[in-house]
Amino acid sequence: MRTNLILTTLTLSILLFSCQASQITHVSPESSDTTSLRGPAYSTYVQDKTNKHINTFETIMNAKSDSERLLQVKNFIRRQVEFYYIAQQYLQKFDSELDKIYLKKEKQLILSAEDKIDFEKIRYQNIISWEFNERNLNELLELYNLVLINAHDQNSPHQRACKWILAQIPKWLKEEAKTDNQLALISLSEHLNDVSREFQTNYKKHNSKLFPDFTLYFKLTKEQFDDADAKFKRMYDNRKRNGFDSFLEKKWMQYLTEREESGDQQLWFDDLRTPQALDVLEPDSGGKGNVTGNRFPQGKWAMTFDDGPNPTHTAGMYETLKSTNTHGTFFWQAQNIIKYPKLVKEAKDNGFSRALHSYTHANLPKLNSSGLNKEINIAADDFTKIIGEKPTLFRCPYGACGPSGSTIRQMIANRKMLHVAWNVDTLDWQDKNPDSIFSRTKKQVDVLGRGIILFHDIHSQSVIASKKVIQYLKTKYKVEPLNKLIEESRGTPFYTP
Amino acid sequence: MEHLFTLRSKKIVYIFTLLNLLISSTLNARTLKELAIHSNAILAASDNNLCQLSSSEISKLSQNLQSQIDHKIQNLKNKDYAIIKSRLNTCSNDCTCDIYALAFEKNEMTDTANLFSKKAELITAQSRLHCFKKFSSCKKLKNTL
Repeated sequence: MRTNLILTTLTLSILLFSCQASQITHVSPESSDTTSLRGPAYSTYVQDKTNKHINTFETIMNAKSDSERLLQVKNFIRRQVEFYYIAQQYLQKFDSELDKIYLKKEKQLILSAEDKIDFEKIRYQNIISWEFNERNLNELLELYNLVLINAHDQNSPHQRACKWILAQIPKWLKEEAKTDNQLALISLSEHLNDVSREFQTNYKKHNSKLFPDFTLYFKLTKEQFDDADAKFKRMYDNRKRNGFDSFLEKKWMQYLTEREESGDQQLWFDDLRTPQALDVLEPDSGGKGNVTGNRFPQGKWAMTFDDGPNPTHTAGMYETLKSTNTHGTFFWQAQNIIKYPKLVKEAKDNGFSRALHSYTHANLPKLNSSGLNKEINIAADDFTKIIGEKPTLFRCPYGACGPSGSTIRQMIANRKMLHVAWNVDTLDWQDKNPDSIFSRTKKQVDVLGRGIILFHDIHSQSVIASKKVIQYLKTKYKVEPLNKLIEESRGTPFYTP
Repeated sequence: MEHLFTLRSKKIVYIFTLLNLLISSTLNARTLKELAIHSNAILAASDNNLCQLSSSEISKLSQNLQSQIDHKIQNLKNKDYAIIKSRLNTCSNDCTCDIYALAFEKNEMTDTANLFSKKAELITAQSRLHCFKKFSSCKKLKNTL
């Protein structure tokens, strides 16, 4: 679990910054035919007064010798590695505080003022540390881009020096890979590779020998990742507090004072990260089985559709999934499964998964035992009769299953079903505008980086919006079957009919 | 005289019953309007990062609302639908078209549902924010958490 956590946070950082990596090439390949053949001209860059990194680059280039230049580049990289560890450490602390608060709430314990302030503090510091990490990474990637531009520009006064730096990078990577900094190196190599790829795509004629091979450092086996992960844990456990920690402490105190002066006592609880403790992946008699997607491998998403089958819109959803070659899991009401068996069979023929969403979409916590029996047990029996296999996944209507260990959750677990929630709610049922559904979903997807997306297969707007979402996901993430992601997260097979 | 009195009291009872029916159906419809305004508040809060609500809190608000709206729609009468239908030209003003469309959709009144849907599709994030400022507040929204 720890490994997953760290790997997911690592990939989070990769995803958080991938947008920047793709934005740093300012010179359009279409700007001049000659330029696109030769590569970008450094002079174009120099004229761009808005590019604040030019000065830093020039300072490095004006160093007395190549080794001094390389030393300065290395210092930038080392600083990034340091920021990376600090940000990761604050993120770990934040997640652990978030879990603590969540578990207390689950046990219906009252949160003390200390709990709240501790949480708020780590949340604040976490945000600031990531902001610094992001800013520094951006600067580093911009410098690397400038090195690439100059190395390919025959008219640049820095061509020779930049070519030399590029030739030194593989040596530095090799050296660094031997240290405990591997996780930071993996993250960094992936970003640098993005810049190289972007450069190569934009400028077709280039000297491919000049590009360092970063893939060696981020395309690793599971064992290599585990090893890097163990080293990473040692690193951040033993990390000594430095000036940046003091700075964060100071910033927090400053924020508190300003807040007190303004009389604003509003606590910050507007996080998009959700507690890791929400996910318990095994169905068990205690009724704790629950999946939100928060523990899925970073960058991987599952598409889920509720409430059907619907004679008008479910087929449209199949078309969307088929045309984008995507898997979906359908959480259906038993009453609709009985009404539309053809659609139910069609889902199987298309390779989609079918799961249960009660009998009539009743609000379960409001029902007595006979009502619950119908909505869970009889629904599971009728599902089995029509589909020929038992349901393995269940989603409570309105996400209302009661607290952990509730009667409802126990009944679900007694039928050997795992309860599936979501971490991205598209709010598609209440919004008729597919574009705004898409924008809302995209925003959440980019913050969380992995999980389960909730759509409904009973509305026309959902069919259009889900296609847009899938097309977007395919540009940056992977969409995989829900059961495969459950399997991957818990390490044992999980079947869905 | 006695007969006249009985007739009069009967009339009063009829009028009272009719009034009662009218009021209750209007109330039902008005409540759907309130729920629709609440729905817009949730969407506006989600899209504009208002009220310091986390995405999971937004989802919780949305799920609770869905349960209330489903319940409300199940209990709507023809008279209620007639009242709601009359709001076709004004639903854009308070950003309630989506939920009215949903109500007609669930009652399989496709043509009217489509008319409301078309209006709803034109509601932008900016107009949602405007409706939120005009008809809702963070306090109201958070109270339903």
